[in-house]
Amino acid sequence: MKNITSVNPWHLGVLQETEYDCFIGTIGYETRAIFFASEYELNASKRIAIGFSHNNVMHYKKNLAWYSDNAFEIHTPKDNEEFKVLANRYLQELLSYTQEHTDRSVLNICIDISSITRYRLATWIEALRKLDTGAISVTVDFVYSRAKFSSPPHESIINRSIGPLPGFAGWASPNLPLTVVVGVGYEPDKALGSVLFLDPADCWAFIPAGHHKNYSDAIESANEQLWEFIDPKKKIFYDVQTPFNNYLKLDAFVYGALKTNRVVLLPFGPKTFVLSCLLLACQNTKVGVWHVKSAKNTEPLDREPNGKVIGLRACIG
Amino acid sequence: MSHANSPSLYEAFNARTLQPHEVAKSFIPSEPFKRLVSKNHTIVVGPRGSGKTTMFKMLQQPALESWDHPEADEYRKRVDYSSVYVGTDINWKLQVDSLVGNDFSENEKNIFSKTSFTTNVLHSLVSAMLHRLSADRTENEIEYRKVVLTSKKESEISKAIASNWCLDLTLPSLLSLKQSLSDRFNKIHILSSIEAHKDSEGRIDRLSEIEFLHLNYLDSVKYAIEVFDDAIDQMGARWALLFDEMELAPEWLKNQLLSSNSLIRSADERILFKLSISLYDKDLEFSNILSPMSKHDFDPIALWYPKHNDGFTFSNTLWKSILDRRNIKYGNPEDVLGSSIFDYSQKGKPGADSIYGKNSAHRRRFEKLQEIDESFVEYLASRDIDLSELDAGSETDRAKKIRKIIAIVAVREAYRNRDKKLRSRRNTDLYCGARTFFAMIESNPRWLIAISNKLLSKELKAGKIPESIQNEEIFNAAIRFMAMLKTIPCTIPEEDEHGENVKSVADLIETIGVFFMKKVILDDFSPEPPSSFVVDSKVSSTVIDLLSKALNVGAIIYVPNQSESILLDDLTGKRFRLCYLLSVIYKLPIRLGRAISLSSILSESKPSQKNEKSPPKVTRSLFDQL
Repeated sequence: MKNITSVNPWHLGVLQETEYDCFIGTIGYETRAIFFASEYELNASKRIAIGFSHNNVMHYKKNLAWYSDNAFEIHTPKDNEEFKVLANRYLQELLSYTQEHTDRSVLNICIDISSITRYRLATWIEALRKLDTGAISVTVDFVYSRAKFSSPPHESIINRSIGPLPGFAGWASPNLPLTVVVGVGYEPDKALGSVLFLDPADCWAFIPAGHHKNYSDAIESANEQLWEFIDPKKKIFYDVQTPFNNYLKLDAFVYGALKTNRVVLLPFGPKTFVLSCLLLACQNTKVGVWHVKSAKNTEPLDREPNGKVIGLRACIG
Repeated sequence: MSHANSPSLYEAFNARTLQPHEVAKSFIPSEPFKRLVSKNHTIVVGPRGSGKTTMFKMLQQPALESWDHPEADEYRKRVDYSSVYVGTDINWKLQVDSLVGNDFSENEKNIFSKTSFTTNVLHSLVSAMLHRLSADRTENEIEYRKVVLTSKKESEISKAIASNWCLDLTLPSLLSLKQSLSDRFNKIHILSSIEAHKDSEGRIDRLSEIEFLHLNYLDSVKYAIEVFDDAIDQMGARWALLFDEMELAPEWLKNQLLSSNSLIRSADERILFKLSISLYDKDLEFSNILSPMSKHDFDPIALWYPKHNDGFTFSNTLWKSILDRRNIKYGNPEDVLGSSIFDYSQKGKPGADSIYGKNSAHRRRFEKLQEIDESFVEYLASRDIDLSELDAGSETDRAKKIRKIIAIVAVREAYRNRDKKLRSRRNTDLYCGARTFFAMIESNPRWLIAISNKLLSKELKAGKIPESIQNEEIFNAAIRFMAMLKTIPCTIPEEDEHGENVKSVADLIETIGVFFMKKVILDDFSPEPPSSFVVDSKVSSTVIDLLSKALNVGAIIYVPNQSESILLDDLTGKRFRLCYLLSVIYKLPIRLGRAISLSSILSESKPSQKNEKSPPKVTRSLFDQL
């Protein structure tokens, strides 16, 4: 299994300097699913977009049409298992092609995580780490289109399962106390329920800030009951506009916590925080990253892009 | 960065966070604990927060030796065995489950599962041994089960145990043994990772060559305790293995300990098994382990109380200890919490100042209800009850006619209006008072400590916690509990074949709660509206699954009849009620009412029945009005 050798900041200027071997998009129902690919000129040899077999509502068909019209290779796996097979196979083929047809020593990949699911993000990262790249190193730019404020769900979402993302269960002695770090979002009581399910010895909250005031208010309201369980001194705010700084903040926290605790990361909220958790867990195999799977007929929420794109670059050795 | 405990609501009461000596600081012995310490195999059954982990931690030497309580010496004499606490949690369970990939066979998965479990047990055993040897003692610690071991003997036993357990020691000491086991945890992970990258063909042969993967935890424990006890000249001494949260244990372990062929029937006499488990696990048949034929089977201990007064003594004792720590003196819980409407022990006396007299709260409620509720008027007439003479007559008469409907009248008067609709009320005096408070927290130590701390953080008035504060905190606790119920994960089939229209645990509880609320408040007056249910055979397996989740978190309470076991093999045919904490949300009296079949509740609650029998849903806005 390859390691994440470094995590670095990413900015739009990088697009002009980088020749990508592949760009990976997601065909989702959100407006922002195609924002990055449609707004910016991508220098990518291959382009792939992966859709879903369910929840093809709102802007899904429009997004599918856009990707199709712009010569993306389209895939629609029927379930997560099929997605996993697809991801692993695609990366292997990409690597083989690069090795056979180029003399490149670096494989450059760009993944738009704006509309991706947590499961799929974890699967891509796992698949990248498992690639037997030989002397070739892999650089992955994870890009994210920030969204305009949209109202939170009207009612609590029904949860189908809570557990570690595949490949990210972590491993640590059960004799150590468990610390849960929850990245809160604005779905009502979702974080609370997950924390109580895990029943940890200690709990810290990472709270997104630096966005529209409506988000902060919605987060506060959705987690009203959670705050009863968390010491105010254990709330850490992070700026959603600076994913690299957040990664460093989280890294420092986890480094300290691991000295005497097991750590589970529960990232709700922005995908860049989920990404930071996954990258961190790659570097600290004791750390687990959990997710909550909601019911299939959960009320879909559109997210329009606000025009800003942020990202992180990870190097896999 | 400090990760020390701090006084959040949550951390204040989770025993998992506490070391044994910390648990001992505030531990109050109870009847269940008295039974737990016996030299029997024991199985402790209760919902989350009922005190299982706390009691198990108290059985450990570090807790017992630092325990300062009038009964502590007596317990130290009784616990003349060494306890080995083997904890687990959902995170550990899922880490072990995720250790190997899908291309591993069941046999290969079991190998890793067993070796992970064995390593955990052996690590806990060595920790227990180390504590017996420890020369360090604080001023407050009693000399309890400490032994002296020369360096030479420690070296000999460490080497012997290490050899048996296939461990390499850096130094011949028990501490090194423990550290080697910590290292083994890492090795297990590395090994599984290596195997995941290799071809599955030949894997079982490769694994069979690694000795430590095939250790049997019980054989390893037996050997080690024999070597240890021989070295300290205590041959044949007893040890107790405390397996906490068995509902999270791997299937093979549950089968081993809790099946009809339970290995404890043939186990070594030196080893006691003490298990804790939630009330219901659909894969277990508890009746197998309660056979009257075998003296080796488990003594079951229940940590919940079907009837609201049964847990009063324990709750009162714990409450008193909380007050003592805050230097609040009192004689009865009513001194601080006041009396309760739902206190059925109060007896009436003749005269205007009696609890049913002209100026009494009970009389006022009866009279107000009479003004607004025709069906109540009819009921009074049919029973020949004259409100002006409520306090007249004998106590027996009153018991027959009046006391049994006090609770119904109270909630009905509070929440029903003239138009037979729900009335929004702020701050009633219903859900406060000592008896009610203790009933609502279901003698659950976790709830009692958490809510008590919140109540006592506010200012007392004339030595009492005001009713408004009690109402507010109880209501907040109920809302928090409902919020937690809403997020319990559950798998519901896409097709609702039985038409039950229940999508989650919270949905089920809401359906039942609203049904009972309608019966008590909105329907015509009945002296015995239903407020418990029996799971009949028409109920689907989906709903049974939701019920089991509700049961194990304490949202519903099992009400066995006298001949029924406390251990549940099957929910069908069994009686349950909602936990009393939810009464404040569904405006229910604190009493065990008659039972009705669950299928009839679900049937009557279907949204397609758009008639006056369909009960209203309790919405968040309604909560906000309370």
